[in-house]
Amino acid sequence: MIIEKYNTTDDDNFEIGIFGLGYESRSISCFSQVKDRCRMKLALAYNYWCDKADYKINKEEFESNDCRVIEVDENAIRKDLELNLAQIIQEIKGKVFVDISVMTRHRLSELLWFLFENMISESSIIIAYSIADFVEPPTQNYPVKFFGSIIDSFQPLTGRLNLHPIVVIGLGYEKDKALGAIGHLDPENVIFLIPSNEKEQNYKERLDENNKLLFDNYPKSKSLTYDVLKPYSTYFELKSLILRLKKEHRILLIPLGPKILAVISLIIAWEFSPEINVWRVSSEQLEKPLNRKSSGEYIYIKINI
Amino acid sequence: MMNKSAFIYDSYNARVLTYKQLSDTFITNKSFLELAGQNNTVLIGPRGSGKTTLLKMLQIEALSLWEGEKAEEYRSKIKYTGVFVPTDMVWYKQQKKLLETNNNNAQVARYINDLFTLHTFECLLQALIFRTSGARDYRRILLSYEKERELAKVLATQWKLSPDVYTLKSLFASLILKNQEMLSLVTNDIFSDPVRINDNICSFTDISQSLSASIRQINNMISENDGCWCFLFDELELAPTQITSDLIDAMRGSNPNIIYKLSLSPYNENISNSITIRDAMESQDFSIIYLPDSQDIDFAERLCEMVLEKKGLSLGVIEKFENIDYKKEITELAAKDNSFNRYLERKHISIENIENYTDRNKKPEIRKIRWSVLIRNYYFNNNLSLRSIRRPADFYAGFLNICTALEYNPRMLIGTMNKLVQQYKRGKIDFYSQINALQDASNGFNAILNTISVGSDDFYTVQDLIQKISTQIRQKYILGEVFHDEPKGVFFFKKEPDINIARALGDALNTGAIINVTDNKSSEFNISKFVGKKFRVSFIFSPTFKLPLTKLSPIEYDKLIDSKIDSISELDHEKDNNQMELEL
Repeated sequence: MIIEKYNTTDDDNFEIGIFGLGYESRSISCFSQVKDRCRMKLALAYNYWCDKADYKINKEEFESNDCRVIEVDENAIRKDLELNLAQIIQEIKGKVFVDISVMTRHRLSELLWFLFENMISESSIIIAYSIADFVEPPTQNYPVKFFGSIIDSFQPLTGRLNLHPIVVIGLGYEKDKALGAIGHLDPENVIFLIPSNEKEQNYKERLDENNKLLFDNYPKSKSLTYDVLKPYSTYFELKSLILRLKKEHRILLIPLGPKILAVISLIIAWEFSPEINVWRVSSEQLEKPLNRKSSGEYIYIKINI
Repeated sequence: MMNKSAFIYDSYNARVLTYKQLSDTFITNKSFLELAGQNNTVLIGPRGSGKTTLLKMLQIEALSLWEGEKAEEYRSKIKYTGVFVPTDMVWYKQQKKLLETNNNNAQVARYINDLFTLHTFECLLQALIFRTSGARDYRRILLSYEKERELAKVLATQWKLSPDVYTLKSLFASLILKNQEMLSLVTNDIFSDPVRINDNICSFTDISQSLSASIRQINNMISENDGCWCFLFDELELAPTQITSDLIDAMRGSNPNIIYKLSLSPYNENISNSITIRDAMESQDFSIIYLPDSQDIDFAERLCEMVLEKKGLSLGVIEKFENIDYKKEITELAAKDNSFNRYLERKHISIENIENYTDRNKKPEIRKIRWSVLIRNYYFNNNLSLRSIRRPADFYAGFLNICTALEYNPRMLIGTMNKLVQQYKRGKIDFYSQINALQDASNGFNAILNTISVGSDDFYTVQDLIQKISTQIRQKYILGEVFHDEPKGVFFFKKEPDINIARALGDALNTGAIINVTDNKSSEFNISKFVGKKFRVSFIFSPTFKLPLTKLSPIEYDKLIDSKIDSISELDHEKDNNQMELEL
């Protein structure tokens, strides 16, 4: 697998475009950019929150543009993907466009893992992410309903018990979410990955405020900053960090924060498989749905299989 | 990526510390004295209660580096070689998931047990290599090349290894390779093929038998026939279930060359309840130590002094909450709370005479109601409506209250003291800073509890459970319409709770959010059944939930959390008290 920068001016055509159908208005922002360049179009819809915000408008947009909509059960993603995508993917020798903007971390991880496993060599995946306008973080802490492997079928025993466990955790702006996850696992070592986006200072301010207790409680932990707008650089920086750590540590990645970090973590877990675990922390449908609008800024990363 | 700025103060987790750091910062306590003895011991306590520190200090590596006041005394007293065997939550969750994915297949379980046994061999070999390497003179073994070769050979046979050459270091490398090979097979779909899995299982017998056989060979080769080895299993509840059970059973064994010291969290539904404290007392096989020891105030003081001293401070700088005008508090509450007035009348307590009462005359009763009076007077307006204050009252501050609120948990005490030293100004650490530090500790704890999911319709997480219990205590007994001289809050069960609630309570016990306050912990040392025991919510939540920092009266759990029972009359309250006493 080779990771490359992807230039939007490439004006590529895609064998298939896979999108997320949700209630957020940005659900169709990537779609509108590439819909005419995808030979096949598939939107993975949710089977909950279908009455929220822009869901109906989005669905209409997909359907009226010849995009097949399939409802995917969050508890049986793999099964739904096998059923609807396996045959198509195994025959594709070209580019697959995947818009992760409104996919849950669980969903996008299952989808990417499925593609990694099934796509034939010399094909490639272009991952797109539409950055949302800033919205304030939730004022309450939603109860965590799931804390475990980001992929249902993949949770290896990573490394000897005598290796020191280390958690590399991406921080988001939700209050004390990372602190809860770290505190629960109580690992020997922690490294924080802090997202930065020079165009979005509000996010950074809230992140610092809402992780203050975490920084206070883990003062000796190393913090590393990554640029959300440069996934290619982040991939190499995170990979080199993992290479340095894995000789002496059992590594667990927990990519909270921008979803692009979940994608990068997953790529790295695939490359080092089965040595690295990636976990998610989710409140599932207990979270209040927020209609995030696209900021008009997009980031891409290309994976050559 | 760029490195962010360094942080100001230190956190404390014994697992992170090097031997040197551990031994340099170690402070002995009563529990360590007991633990260090030449007998099997079970160490029980929630996270942060100091189990890991105490066990790690018994390792040969840590003992050899220790330079503290009592170091020499302990070194000469301890006649065994301590072998620390860690495990951790991440590995636990991974192996649990692996078992679930394979429908708890017995072969998979054996495979995981083998991995853990190999891990234990690795720890044993590390201690042996330390002793033979001569890095320090303490308990050094002089082993000839021939003897080492012979020893490596017999251990390799026992451990089913094939090192390139027969040396202890080569054996160690071989152990690591074997472990890695088995791990890689786990993810290589080995479990779908019973033949393949059988070919790769080491089939070690019971872990204690494997260790006995190894120790026999080691002692023989190092010419220490009486040599004693002490296995210090930390967080044993996170080890595979079979391993845990085997080790607990092994504690009743009589191999004079092996001692087990096992640390466990208070609740583990999988551990057999066959061993009771009575067993231990009768057979004198092992002792049980409960942590943290809230009676060991001296230890808490020395621990906190150590943190403060690093910044040139002493305990004296923590502002004391001692000059409270209790008569004024009682007078003010009596002026606005009729139920309190009625209580005073019923008990023939006269406000004018408050200061003249003695221990034989009313003083104990007045002392007993102190927290209720302070809380009600602070949070009630004159019309008995609740004041809208979110910040906890200052009367939760002061060193002893901080220790009580933090349940004398060493890790929390160190963390909080580290925060407080940063707030030192104008010669003191004021109430404001102390309350902030307590709130931070409580918020951090809540964040953890919020990630522990509960499969119950009533509660999503352990945090919900704690919130529900605490809120009910406050609403019914502390800040309800009626003043209670014996507010309830310690809860018990008449029948075993639903499994999801039991697990939630278990997780709460293991994190220290709920405390076992059974008067005589004479049942099984591991709480897997709740009937017959008493519990309370940790005092760490008291400032936030406006609850006393003192033990409350017992009530049945179902009655406590039933929100339909929202207020209790004074008469019912008295009847209730009498009934509870009969039931308990």
